[in-house]
Amino acid sequence: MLAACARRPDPLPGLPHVFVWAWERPEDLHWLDPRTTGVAFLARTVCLKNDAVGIRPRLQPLRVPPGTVLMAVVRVETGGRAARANAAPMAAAIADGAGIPGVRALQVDFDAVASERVYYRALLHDVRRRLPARMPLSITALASWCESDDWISGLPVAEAVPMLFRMGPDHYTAGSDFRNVLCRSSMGISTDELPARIPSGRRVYVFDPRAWSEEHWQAVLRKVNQWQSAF
Amino acid sequence: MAKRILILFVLAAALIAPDDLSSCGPFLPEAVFTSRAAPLDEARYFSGQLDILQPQYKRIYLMAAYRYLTGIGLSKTDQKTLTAPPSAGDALFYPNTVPVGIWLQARVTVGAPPLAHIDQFKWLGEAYILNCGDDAFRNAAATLAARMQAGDSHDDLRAWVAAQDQVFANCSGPPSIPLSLPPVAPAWTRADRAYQVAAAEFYAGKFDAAEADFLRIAADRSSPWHAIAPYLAARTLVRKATLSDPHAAPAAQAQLEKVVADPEAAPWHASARGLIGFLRVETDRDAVLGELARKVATQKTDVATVMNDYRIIWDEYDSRGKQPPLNDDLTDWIAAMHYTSGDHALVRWRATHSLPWLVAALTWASAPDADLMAAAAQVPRTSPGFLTVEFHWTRLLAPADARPQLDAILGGKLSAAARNLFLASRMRLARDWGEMLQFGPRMVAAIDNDDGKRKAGIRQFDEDAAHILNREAPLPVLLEAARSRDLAPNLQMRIARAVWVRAILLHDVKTGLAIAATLAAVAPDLKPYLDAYLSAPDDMTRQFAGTWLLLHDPGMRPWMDAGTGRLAPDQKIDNFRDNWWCAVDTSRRPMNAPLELLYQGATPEAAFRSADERAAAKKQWDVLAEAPAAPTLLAKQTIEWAEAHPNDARVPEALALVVQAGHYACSGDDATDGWVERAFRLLQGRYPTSGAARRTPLWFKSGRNRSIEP
Repeated sequence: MLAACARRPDPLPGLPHVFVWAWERPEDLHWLDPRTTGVAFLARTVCLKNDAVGIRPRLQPLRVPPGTVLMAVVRVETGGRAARANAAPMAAAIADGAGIPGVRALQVDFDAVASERVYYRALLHDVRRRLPARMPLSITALASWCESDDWISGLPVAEAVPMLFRMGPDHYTAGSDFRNVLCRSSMGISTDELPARIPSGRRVYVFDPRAWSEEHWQAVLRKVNQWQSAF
Repeated sequence: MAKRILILFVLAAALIAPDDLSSCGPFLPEAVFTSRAAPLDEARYFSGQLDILQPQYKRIYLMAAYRYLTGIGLSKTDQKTLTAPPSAGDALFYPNTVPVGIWLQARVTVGAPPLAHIDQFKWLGEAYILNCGDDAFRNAAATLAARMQAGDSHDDLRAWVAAQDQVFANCSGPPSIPLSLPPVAPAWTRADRAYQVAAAEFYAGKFDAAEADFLRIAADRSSPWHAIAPYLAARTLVRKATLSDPHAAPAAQAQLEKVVADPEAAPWHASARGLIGFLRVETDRDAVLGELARKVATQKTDVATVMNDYRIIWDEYDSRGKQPPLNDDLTDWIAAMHYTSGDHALVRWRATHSLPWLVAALTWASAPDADLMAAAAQVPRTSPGFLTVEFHWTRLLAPADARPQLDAILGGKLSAAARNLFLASRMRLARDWGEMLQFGPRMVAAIDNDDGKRKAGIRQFDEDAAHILNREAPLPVLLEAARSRDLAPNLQMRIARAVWVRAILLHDVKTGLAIAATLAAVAPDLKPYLDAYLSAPDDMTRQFAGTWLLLHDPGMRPWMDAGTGRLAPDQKIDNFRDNWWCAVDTSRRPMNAPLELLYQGATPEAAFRSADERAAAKKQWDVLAEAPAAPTLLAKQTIEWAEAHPNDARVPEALALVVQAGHYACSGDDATDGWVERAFRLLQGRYPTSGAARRTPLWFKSGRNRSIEP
């Protein structure tokens, strides 16, 4: 990994620098501080099946304090078979996820295999066209997209969030940075695989394999704050 | 009908709790020798072929096991229901489900402007709900067809559709209630409009108004909707109780009981009873779980739906972080199979002497109990619990008694998953390296996260065998194993490659030469490199011949991988940095769950080794554990060769490959970056116009925190 990297302007200006990832389970986050923390919640899962697009909307309750910045996350599942699919219906199903009242940004979570990259690129361009101009579009990214290959360059997204967990042998080296500039403004971590440290100034998305509790969140937040002040 | 409402409940819950909540990948293919959480062949399992029960099986499988162990089993119909793929996902296809599509087509036949999509889900601030089910659209299309068939006026039909559009606008949007019709309007249009108004109020969440309107319709015997209206009033109260006001539950219950007591409402009795059950789950979950458990344990047929309901209700305890009451035998047994503290399972077996509790007690036994072992020995081969009991019984027997039992079992017909665990059990009791290699290889029963490139059905080492070969086998033993024709060729190759790398790291030229000839015979791709290694005139030339091979084969490592091994072909760089070898991690990590069940926290070991073998293996291990990281070794040996032979045409390419190794190797050490930078500067300084230098404009710091437990 290259160590020296220029700081980008915040691609999601005005949004909190810490986001809780709230997945499809009952989540009561009423104790969050909405001044400092946003919630990126799984709003729907869209699936490609037999060339049709299926939608599984969020059916589990999500409770957040008033004023919380919400980011709708749309998970895309294709089983690796989207290479020749028409991106338009999928794009419409994804963009509709941003229509939930109060949502300020949209994040797409799609582990596209190599053969689906052309499709994913077209999909993101289509989603971008369908979103309000001021609504940021974020994607999650495999670490390899950020480092060892460069296919995400030029995607119409504000940020690519490298996920520093469940990475197999490709562990993240504490303190290092990613090659692709889209990956240098944020990082996704999991509470069960917290890295030793990450560069300061990053927007941090935190996933918990279990339902969040206030005590657990405070412990994670202390760690995040340590990272931010360590540099 | 009761079944239907329960199935609807089950399907809704399936949507609420999808199995796969994974957030992100990559999900790497993984060899499965014996599955931890679910049987590999569901149909076979639900037919009673339980193999070796895994305590971490999901509850639906443990329920089925309990039924077979108690002799009730599952009917063919129940087996079919339990193995049927969930169909709930098909109900949500974008842009429209089939019934919504039918309605959208029907409405344009009376001149309504086309609509592309109706969203059936409403966001309630915390979650979506399926606000308008498919039945509503089926009913609307059927009603419109009936009104058209009755010859009603086109204007009335268009007005009817416009009002129905308003009803469905409430499915996802803000409240939109059609206006009531004046008394001068035709009677059928007024009756239908009253129904549409009540339905719109229902979907808009105006539950009090909807309830009142449905009850008014119920009282109007001239309305075609009066018979169903009491049931819909009850449904309105149920929705109010679940979405906005739990205090509405008693009123909902009372209204549902009225429906059940009304002979005129017979078509809705079963659904009403289902809703009564649903309300009970909300208000008296413990009792409902107990009732369902008793049905799962005793009901002979039509039990699949009950099993699913029981599973869902137990899942709700999980989502609240609570344990359900263990007041019935089934719930107690499933909880004990998942985790038993102390000797609860043994106590329960002593109290019941039942087969399920014998299985649970044996599963968690860490030492033989005389009574338990005697009972285990009495379980007949025909019992569905036989293989599980046999596995644990032999696990607890003295080795000399267990070996013939295991050999007999392995001589019979077994599924791949069961055979693998019995092989592991037998390998644990191996008396020599021959038995170790006989019982070490296992057939891959399935590939998890299959990318389609790797196939089950080939022999590999599971984690126990790989651990022993990596940690406890001296080099001569491995050399002999690599030449053994009893081993599958892929395993011979895996061992031969490790032996050759070990010979280099251990500076054992004799073994290096010996294995190189074997390796060249089984790996034609490596032959040119190995021929150069074998024919080298001196040690330094041989050393660089070895380095040249290693640089071209990132799959080379001194360890034998468990499972499928490395994802990339041997001679290609792996994008997940699984290249060459990682630093050694000596911490004890758990093996996969089925092997942990066998070893119960112990570490696999070759107990039969002689003192000399132990000493040789330890000496070898100590050297390997301290060996330089792969990129350090490769860089050092390449630079030494380059300094001595600057005109060797291979040098620029070798230096470029060193830089690549520094970037992609599994891990480096403290010296790696210095050596890699030196190789880079030598390449750019001495061979700047070479293709290798042009392809290598940068060097990368190595990763230093990666380690594996070999």
